[in-house]
Amino acid sequence: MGELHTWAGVVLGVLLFAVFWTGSLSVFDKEIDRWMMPSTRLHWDDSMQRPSLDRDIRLLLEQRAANAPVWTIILPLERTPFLTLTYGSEESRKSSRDLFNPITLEPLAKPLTLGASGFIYPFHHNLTLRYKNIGAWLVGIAGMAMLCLLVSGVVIHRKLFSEFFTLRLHRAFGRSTLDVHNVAGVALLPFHLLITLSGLIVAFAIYYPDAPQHTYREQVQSGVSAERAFLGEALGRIRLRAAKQPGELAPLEPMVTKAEQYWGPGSVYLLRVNNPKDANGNVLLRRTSHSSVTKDIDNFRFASVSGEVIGRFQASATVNTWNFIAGLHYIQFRHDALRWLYFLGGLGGCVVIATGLFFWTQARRKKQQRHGHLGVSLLDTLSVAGVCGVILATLAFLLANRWLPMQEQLFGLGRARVEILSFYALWLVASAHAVWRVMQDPRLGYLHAWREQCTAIALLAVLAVLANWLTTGDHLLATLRSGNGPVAGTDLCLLAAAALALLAAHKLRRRVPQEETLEVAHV
Amino acid sequence: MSDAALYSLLALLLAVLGFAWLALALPNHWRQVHQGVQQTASRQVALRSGASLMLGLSLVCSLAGDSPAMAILLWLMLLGVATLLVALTLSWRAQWLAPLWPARSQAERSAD
Repeated sequence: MGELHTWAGVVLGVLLFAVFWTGSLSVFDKEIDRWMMPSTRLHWDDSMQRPSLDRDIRLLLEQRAANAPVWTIILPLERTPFLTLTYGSEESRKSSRDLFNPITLEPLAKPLTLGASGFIYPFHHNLTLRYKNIGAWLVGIAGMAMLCLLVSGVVIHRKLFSEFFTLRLHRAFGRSTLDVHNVAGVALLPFHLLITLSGLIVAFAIYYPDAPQHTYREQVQSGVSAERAFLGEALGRIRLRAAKQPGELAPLEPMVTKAEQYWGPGSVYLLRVNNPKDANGNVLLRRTSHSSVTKDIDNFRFASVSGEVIGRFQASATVNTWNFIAGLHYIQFRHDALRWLYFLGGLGGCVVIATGLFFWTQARRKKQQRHGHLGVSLLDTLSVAGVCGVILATLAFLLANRWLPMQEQLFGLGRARVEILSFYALWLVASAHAVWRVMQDPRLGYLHAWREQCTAIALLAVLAVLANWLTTGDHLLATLRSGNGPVAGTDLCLLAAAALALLAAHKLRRRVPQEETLEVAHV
Repeated sequence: MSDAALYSLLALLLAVLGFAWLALALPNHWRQVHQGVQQTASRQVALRSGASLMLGLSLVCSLAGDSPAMAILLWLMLLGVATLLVALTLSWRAQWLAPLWPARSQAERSAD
């Protein structure tokens, strides 16, 4: 068990840190989106009057995409306080997307960024390596490793109960690191178990791609693909063919009223009109799941011409068990206290992983300083690049978002792509810096690498807050006074990160001479 | 403050009290908090029973504020936060836990 814990941690620790870090940020992805997309810093709450579907939104759709085969309307919600319209094309279902002020219905300036929900969140579950799901598989392997680490960690913990609260922070670095690792690991064990297990379960379709093939053998024989049959039966996602005959779309408002008779007022948030100009078109309505942990995937389907209900999908008990586990992981329900606790719990996971890595190198440090130890140097480099590197990369992503000029194209690339390139570029630079520092001085280089990168984190975090102020005028005092939670919260977290990074850099600075004298003593 | 937030806060406070008592039931933390007072078996039992009661009440409080699924999730998270708060207090200002279960040292008692 000890070997399992050590090796799973050493081999996958850095990847796990990146997954936990981006996962923690994804808890607040929509809030970070508001920070990164200034034109969407609006206010919306349930008491406000929704824009009229038939009078206003229909007009916008007719003006902008009269011939699109699919229209999607996403109504404003508290965390996404704007109207979203997407128009599918023949090739893809989501080809273009426009955002509108939910009250005046004026188009909002294009965000020109993927934001946290379009980059940080996908990175969390597939590392943005979409080819053959390689990224999702790597994250899945890391998730399995995390489960092994959690269980083996409990087994090898010698004094689980007698040292449940023991945190000797004043003792030597090795001792205090292990105490932090143990106490945080045990305190957050239920959350980490839940979040890792649910993370693996939500992606079952990737890890068991062939499961529907066996279950839906009969449907496959009658010419329907197994995936389609599964999506239709279990998740209520069906595709109805167009009649290729013109048809007039019935009013949408009565459909919403009808569905909300069952779901409760204000619960419809998405309408998808498939083949709006066809005699066999249909309108799909989805509901929010704000008040339950279970992710609600029920839907209503109406015939687009007659406006009659043609289907109401209600997930089975089995599917809802899965929806409960998924809801537990995605935390899309309304609960501010839990959202903050998830965020802090995720960051706690980052602390447990990082201290685990430190303990491994620290335990082997003395031997390394006498005889040299390639493993220690390698892991020193990896942990600086993996811990500070991904934090720096995230800050580069935020800074690029605020500093790059607001043009669709930059250096021959889309602006959103340049932001992502900045993320990877700074990660690469941070890794190169770690390699250089450790190679230059295998004994103490790691301390310099940590200290310099912590200083860089503090600097970039403060710069990001300044950049937000300078480019949007929304400085912290203004956002706090006007109650702009998402922007003020992001700025405050950046400042808190800067303060912590400075403190760490300061402690590391005091450590370098201590280590040097120790080394002299050894000689 | 909304009712739900108030209940969550109360649930956290009860969980902190519960874990503080669990910590005091451990001989090494008891010594840290009350120097010179022997920990007794009967006091350990009292501390642990009190702690179980507080942790139970903490669950009741979170159930009062939220739907059951969210309440249990919240409670699990609050238990983690409470553990960390108690551990940090013990490491930084252990004596702060003394009023949670007062005890007089041998010297004080003989002075009476």
